[in-house]
Amino acid sequence: MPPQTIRLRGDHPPGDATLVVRGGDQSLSNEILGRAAETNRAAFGFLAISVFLAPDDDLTALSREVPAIRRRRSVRTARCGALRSAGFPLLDTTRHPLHFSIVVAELTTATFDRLRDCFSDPVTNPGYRP
Amino acid sequence: MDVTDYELWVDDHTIDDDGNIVTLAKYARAGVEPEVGKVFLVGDGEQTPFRARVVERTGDGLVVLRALDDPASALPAS
Repeated sequence: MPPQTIRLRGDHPPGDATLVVRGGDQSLSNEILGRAAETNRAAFGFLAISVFLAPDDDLTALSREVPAIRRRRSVRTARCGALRSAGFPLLDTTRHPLHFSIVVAELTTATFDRLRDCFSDPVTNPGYRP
Repeated sequence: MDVTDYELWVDDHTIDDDGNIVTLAKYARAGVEPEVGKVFLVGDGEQTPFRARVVERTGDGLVVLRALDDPASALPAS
């Protein structure tokens, strides 16, 4: 397991229009966000939610690359700019080039509400493969 | 298989540098002990559960799993 230090890839920050994707209908519920953030804190030392970027808004291509997206009938999406404007930094974590961590300051309903407001309602994933 | 038929909850977006899925032992169902080398059905109650092998467990309850049903689950081909 990696040491609890924040190691970044050093990518150029994604543009504001870049699509951020989280798989599933329920993956932004308070319970799942809390569990996911606690897991990230235990593994990497800070509260965060893992997401993937979809270059060119191409969910099919993203699904080919990322099982966590491919396995989902639906996904929820946001724009990097919306997340930053709402106070959620995006860090280029892990060696996976499309994986990012949305940093959350605290595990509160207010924070989760603000995060959910950045995302779309669930949309059908065209790259879904069970 | 029902989507709730998992033994260990995971958020499979949460991965490490090697593409392994990371979760916490406390998210295992009652009676399930995620020991290194064992294979479990993992899921989140929404997607179809899939098999994963525990490759590491730390003293503070971190569990690292390698998905078995999808060998391409690690990093994209470079």
